[in-house]
Amino acid sequence: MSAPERLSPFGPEAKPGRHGAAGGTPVSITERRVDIVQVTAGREAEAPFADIVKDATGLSLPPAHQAAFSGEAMVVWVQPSGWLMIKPRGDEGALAKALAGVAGDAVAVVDQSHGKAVLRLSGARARDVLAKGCRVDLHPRAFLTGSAATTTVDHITITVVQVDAIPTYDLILPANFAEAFLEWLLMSAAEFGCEVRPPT
Amino acid sequence: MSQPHRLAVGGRIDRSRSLPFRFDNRAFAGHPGDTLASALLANGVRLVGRSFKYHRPRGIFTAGPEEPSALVELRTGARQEPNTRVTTAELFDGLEAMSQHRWPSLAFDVSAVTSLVSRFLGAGFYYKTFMWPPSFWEKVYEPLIRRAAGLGRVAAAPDPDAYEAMHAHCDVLVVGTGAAGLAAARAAGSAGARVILAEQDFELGGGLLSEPAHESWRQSMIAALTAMPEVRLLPRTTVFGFYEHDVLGAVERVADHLPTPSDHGVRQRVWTIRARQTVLATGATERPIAFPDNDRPGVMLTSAAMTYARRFGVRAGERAVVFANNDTAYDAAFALHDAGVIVAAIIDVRKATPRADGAYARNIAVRLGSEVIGVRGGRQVSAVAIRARNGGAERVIDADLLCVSGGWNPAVHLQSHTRAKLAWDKKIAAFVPGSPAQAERSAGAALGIFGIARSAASGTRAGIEAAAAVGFRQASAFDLPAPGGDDDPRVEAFWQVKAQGKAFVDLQNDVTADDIRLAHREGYVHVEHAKRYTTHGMATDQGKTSGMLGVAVLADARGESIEKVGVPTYRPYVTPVTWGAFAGRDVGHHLQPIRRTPLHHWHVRNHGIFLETGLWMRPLYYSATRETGWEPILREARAVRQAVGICDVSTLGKIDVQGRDVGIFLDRLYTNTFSTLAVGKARYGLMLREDGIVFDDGTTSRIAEHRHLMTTTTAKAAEVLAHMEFYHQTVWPELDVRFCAVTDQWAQMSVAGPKTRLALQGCVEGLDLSNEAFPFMGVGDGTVAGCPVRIYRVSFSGEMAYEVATPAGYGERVWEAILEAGKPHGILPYGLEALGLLRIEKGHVAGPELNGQTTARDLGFDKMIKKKGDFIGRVSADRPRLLDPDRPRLVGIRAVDPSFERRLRGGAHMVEKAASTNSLGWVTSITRSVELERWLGLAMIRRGPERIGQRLFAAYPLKNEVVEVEVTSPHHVDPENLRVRA
Repeated sequence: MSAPERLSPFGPEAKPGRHGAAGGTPVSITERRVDIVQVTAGREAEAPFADIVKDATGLSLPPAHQAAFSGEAMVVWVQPSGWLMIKPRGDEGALAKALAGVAGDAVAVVDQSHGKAVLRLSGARARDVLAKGCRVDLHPRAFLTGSAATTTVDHITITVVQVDAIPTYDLILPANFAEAFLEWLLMSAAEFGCEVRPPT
Repeated sequence: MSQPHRLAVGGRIDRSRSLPFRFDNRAFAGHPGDTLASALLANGVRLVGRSFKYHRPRGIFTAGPEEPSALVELRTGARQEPNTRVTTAELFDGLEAMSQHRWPSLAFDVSAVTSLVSRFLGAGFYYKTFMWPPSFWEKVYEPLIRRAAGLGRVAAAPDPDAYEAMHAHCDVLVVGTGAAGLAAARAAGSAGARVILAEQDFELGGGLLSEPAHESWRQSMIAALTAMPEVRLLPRTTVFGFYEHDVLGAVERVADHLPTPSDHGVRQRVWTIRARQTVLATGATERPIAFPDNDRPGVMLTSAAMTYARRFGVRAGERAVVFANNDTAYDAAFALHDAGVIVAAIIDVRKATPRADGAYARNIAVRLGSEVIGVRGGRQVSAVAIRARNGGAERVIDADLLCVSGGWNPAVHLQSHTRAKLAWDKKIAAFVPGSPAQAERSAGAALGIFGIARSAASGTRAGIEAAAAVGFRQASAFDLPAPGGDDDPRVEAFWQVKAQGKAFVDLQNDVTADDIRLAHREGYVHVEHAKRYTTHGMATDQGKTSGMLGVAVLADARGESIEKVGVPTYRPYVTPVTWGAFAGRDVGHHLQPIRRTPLHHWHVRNHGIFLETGLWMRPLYYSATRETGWEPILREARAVRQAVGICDVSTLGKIDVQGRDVGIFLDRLYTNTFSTLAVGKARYGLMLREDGIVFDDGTTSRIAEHRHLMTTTTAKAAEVLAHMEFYHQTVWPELDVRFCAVTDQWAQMSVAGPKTRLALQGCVEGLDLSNEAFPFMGVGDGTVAGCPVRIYRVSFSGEMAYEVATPAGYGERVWEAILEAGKPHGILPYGLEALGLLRIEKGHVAGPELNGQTTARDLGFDKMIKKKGDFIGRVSADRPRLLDPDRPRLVGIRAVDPSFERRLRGGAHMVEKAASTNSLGWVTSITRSVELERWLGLAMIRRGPERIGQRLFAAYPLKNEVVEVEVTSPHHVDPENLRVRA
């Protein structure tokens, strides 16, 4: 079913533009408009489900605290036997429906496309921006491309996924806190300067 | 603007640039590299403050963060900051400082007359004097004491600067950048460890900054550390606390040395450092000796006088006397001599020292076996009285500077925070770090080691060991400073000169040796008791310089060793940290994040008046004119009772529950049965806590054979999910159930009122909403305005109602489509207040009734307790006290008088007679009723259901209100529940 355009959870004030200090090497912040499905497998269902995902997406289910990428698609481990499957936005409910169709009863498939929001934070100072609220050690020796961690930042539970070595992070947020988190992020990035890019 | 006490050459200041500043509205100038203290001394300013209790004149006592006396108010206006130590305040262009704690002026302070009566102001004076009558405390004594005592004043205006938090991790944290700290950091860094090196000063080097001979080594070390990519240098950063699990706190003074922070920069940031290993290279603090008038401006620690000469190029006085019990004072005396200070004499309590020859060679007189027994001069030292320790006549030596050295205390504070026990080192008469309680080790002077070369070697060892302990074993060698000869301080334990007069053992809190002795006589013999009774060591400096003197006096009074007496436990913070730094960004509305429903901005645009409920912002009611009072609430509620209303209920907790055993799981979770629920139906459920008290309620719908959608109350959403996870993971792991919080996925709106069906039929497609096809408690899917919706026929208002849920991104579109379709039927959006009004009229329970004390029976839910099968809380719910028929139980109450003039209040006591004080229970929820046109509410009343029909009184003694009410069923509206099925 093709539904109307969705309203962004980041609110009407989240417009592209430059924030904070001028000059320097600013970080960039981009809303990623994606579909997100949370899948939770029963213990005995995990192995067959991994095969299903591999066949359907070419992705291997990542182990604990890891993410796997394939083009613009991403699978993020979020809890034992639980992952977020993230793909560029398609038809309403289609990703969940497709996964539910192949996953079988032993895997819970829950559409979170509206319940979660994703911000991409990128730039040489991205690590320092996050360090103002994130207790997880994001140093390259401890947290690499493909690392994922669920933690609290500014009292908000978020999942941090490192996407590349720039570093670039995808921050997966509860939608109801998206606006509050963006406010925190802009404040924390202000000293380095920050470019809010159009959603992708 | 000359600086009469500035040396022509030497020191680490930049004489080519002048920095103007003001102290007590007088203009001065210093140089880059100065502290406020060194600049004041260079300008000949000796008197900088008045003491806490006796208002005695005080000067600059130290050259570092341990300063007890020279505290000032820094900056002006909203940035004014009290109790700033002049010895750590970095001078900047335009700095303004005011002395504090004096009136009307620093030189002439009226309260100084307290000095004249000071013998009546001994230890425990406040406890003894201001006790009676008790009623005087709040009105008379406390304001009086607060005006007379206290330190500086805080700014009245909000701080314009920003503060922030920072989290850091490292393999090795090194605290302090003296010879030991630099060496430790380099050793650990060279092995490949991630190192953080924190220094409270604005320059790295610690004691090396006063050692020109080692300057090239210092520079080469800093250059090497700067070149290491995994070493982070943090100057102007005080590590203030060492906490559990090797977490340390530090405050970085990012912009304290600037008039204002940089654009988008912060003033200070608080670091939370998670260190795998810590090296404490915090140095040592010189301690004074207690003798009469040892607090006069011009009395200074010997090492401080040396620091002013060597680091800042300042003569702290023109003619000095040095009073010491150890050899380190001789090096300092020689440095003063080299800087052009006339060293009139070294008064040494010891009988002999090999260093005396060095003094004689410089024509400095040494008086061995002697002691200082007094100081001449009020606002400034003018002469020093001495005598031989074995008796003999008093002699007076003219001097404007009296340098004191009573030995050195390793700075063990951080180690003590970890609860490591201190050890007594007899050789240096000081406490040194004991066995570690956490992953730390001390190095250099902090370990009781003297001399640059030995400290550097100690630091190197500590750095190698710390790095190796976390797997970095390949440290590279580097040059260490050449051994400097005789480093033995030869300390003779000597703490107090027993002579007539005030001999201070705590300069900041004005505690004297006599106060300690008095405390001992009055029974405060334990060091912690004596501390609290006298306030010794309790000031912002935590007794860093003279704390040991008080301990020694107490030990002397007890006739025991200092080792036995011990020191009071050191606690964070090592030096004071401003509240602003801790608050960081969590100020104003940033205290906690705002949680917004998907319809938030519709409410904002349409005049929603908001209320914070937990983190949520919810519209209380809507009013373009921002009315107050009941009118808008009654308007919205009437719309629901008479036509149709729509309310944002997205905040309800929503949990997707899937698996083959969901039915079994829910049967154990709820008091009632869910396994029999048909697909496409919703059921109201009640959960108990393990102890039998009601936990939460809500409707749960069966979406598919193995899939349910549970709703919880707004407040308990997270708790319920945690409760479910806990039972699944620990009690019933065999059940095939999986949970997923989906609160944020859905925008949900309750559409309620007799015309609801008409309104919804105008916009819902793909779902037959007729009563036959979609009865009460039905669940079905359809679309509204092209958006998918799931509709639940449930009601919280007592009216015919449908809850419409749509994926959050479509919330506004669906909401507006329903409003449009409802327009011909008189639809109004309604807020939290009308929601509450309607549910109270209907007698539905909410937070005030589900208050953590009520049982299912108390609330009239007996029928919801299934007859067979176990569920959480079942056994405990049958405890005798919970079955007591005398317990308060839920009923309705209605004001007898329909005029609205005498209002009901939540929390009022229910009594039988207007004047009775025998409470039968309490009012939980109240409202004005639109249906019955009077005040009504819900109440918990003993044997409540048995009293239905009786008249009681709701008494609210705080406001002298008594309202006569009739006890009724809780269901004030439609008790037969016909409307919801219409």
